[in-house]
Amino acid sequence: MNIALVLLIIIFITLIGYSLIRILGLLKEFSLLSRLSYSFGLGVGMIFLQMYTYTRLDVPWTRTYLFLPWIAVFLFTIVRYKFSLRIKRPRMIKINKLESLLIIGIAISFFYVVFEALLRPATTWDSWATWLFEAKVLFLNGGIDVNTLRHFNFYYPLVIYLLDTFVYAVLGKIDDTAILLLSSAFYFFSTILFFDVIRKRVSIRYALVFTFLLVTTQNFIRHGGRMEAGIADLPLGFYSFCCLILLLEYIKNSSYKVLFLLTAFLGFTAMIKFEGVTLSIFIGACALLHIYKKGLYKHLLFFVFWIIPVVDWQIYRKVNGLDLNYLSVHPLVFSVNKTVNAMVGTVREFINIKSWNFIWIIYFYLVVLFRKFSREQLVLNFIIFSQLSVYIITYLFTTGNDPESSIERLLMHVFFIAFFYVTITVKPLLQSAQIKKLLKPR
Amino acid sequence: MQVILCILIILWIGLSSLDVVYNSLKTVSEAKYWLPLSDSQKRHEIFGDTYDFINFIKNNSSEHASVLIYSNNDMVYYLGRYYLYPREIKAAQNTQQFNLLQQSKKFDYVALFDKTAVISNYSFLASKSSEQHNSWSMYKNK
Repeated sequence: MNIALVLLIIIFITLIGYSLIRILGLLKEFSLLSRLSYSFGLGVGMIFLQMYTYTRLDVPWTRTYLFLPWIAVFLFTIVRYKFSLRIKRPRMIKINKLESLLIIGIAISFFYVVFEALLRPATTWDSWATWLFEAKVLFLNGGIDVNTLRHFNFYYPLVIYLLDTFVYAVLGKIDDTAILLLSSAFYFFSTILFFDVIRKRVSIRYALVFTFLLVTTQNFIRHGGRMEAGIADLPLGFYSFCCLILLLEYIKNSSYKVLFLLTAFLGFTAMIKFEGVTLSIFIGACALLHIYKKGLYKHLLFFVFWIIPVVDWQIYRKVNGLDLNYLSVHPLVFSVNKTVNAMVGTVREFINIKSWNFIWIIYFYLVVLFRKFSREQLVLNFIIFSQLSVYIITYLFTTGNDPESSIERLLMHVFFIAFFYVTITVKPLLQSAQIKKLLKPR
Repeated sequence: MQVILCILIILWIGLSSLDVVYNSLKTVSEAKYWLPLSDSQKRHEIFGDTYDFINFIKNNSSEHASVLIYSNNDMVYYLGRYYLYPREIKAAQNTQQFNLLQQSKKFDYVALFDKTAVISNYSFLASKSSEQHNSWSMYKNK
């Protein structure tokens, strides 16, 4: 029963985003699969804003109050667009045996992830010790209570906590097995977004090959439903990829509507984990550079959508004496031993085929040996390398951090961006290579 | 360089295909192993004796009680915090800290996980033994 309800909640969240995208006339240049992914991402963000605003305004987290505004939004969308919430049937494409096999492989991986998610309760330490624990506390308290946050040192941003709490509030109870379906949802929506984005650039066969390679990456599977389900690294990877695609679209057409959604997604990205703050800064910096180059200074106003939730949360913490921050938990330190460990541990993870297959090996191979970067490739590399630098610096200069305990999770944040880089870079290189025959565009 | 790239990608596709086969086979074995288990048995499989200890505390304390746990194991505190909330959990990891805390009389209950200690101000409530740990015991504030 709870499983069915969580599935309905995921659909509900996606419908929230879909309705808002429709009402605001966003993403017209994107196709259905991408819009669905962005709908889910936007829906999650809106749930976060709703839960957070309610607690600030003392509105209880009851089903009625939680559903009411969204039902109004649905009704408005249906009336305004004359029932055109109905999704058009996608154009069917002919596929051959190889492509059918790839689709079967992708489908098997997805079912495996969902099956694993539902097989057992949250397993990984961080899921029950941090993410699901805070959601449980918030749900049982019926709101964000400052004393509780202070007591348990809850100082992390709130998107995922409040998403989990929303699910518990709708279920009316805690179910730390069914809630893992949210991780599978992030797995699913990341995959369809990736497929849809590369599908526009390459042949269907090539897109399917790389989507197949993406969904079979063991660490991605683990975060989607196996041992690492229930933590926030896959959601952060999903949001960073959403932001990246919007950034590329913005650089391409300078549309303020795209920038509006990008800044909103940057805000959500920064409110998932601390690592999201730096990721959003690097992606946001690229957008700012574009604004500066094109002289689109009026567009700067949109950045309030990124800054407001982050600044508000910081003010809320300061005002309520929640002074704990990342550096107070992990004070600065430096030692030669840590330096060696940070470097070796990080590089070792890049060649960890068991977790990542060949993605990082091929990524670095391409970066080192094929250095004629397009502007797009420069943007991707800037984001990946900047974020990796943050992690390495953190390992070098803070206590309680080492690659053995976290790099496998942290690489998830830029995993999709690296995958996207490999996909678009390998394509022209393979045109003159032996594999061309196998991946022949249709 | 492109030939090496081709080889890597072919290896990658091969490895991914093997992953799909492996995961499919694993689904069968995992289903056989996990599906017959009850929710509680699954949690025991994942967390071992620690989970049983947490249940032991749950069964012997009221919902809003404060519990002092004496254990060397970090997991006991964090798992206890998660499963026992809204009970207030405090953990002591050494004798000195434990004695100090128990003498404060702030706690409704004291629970020992694989530990022995001199307990004052608390009366014996229950104890249990498991295969891996000598004893768990619980005391209530007098």
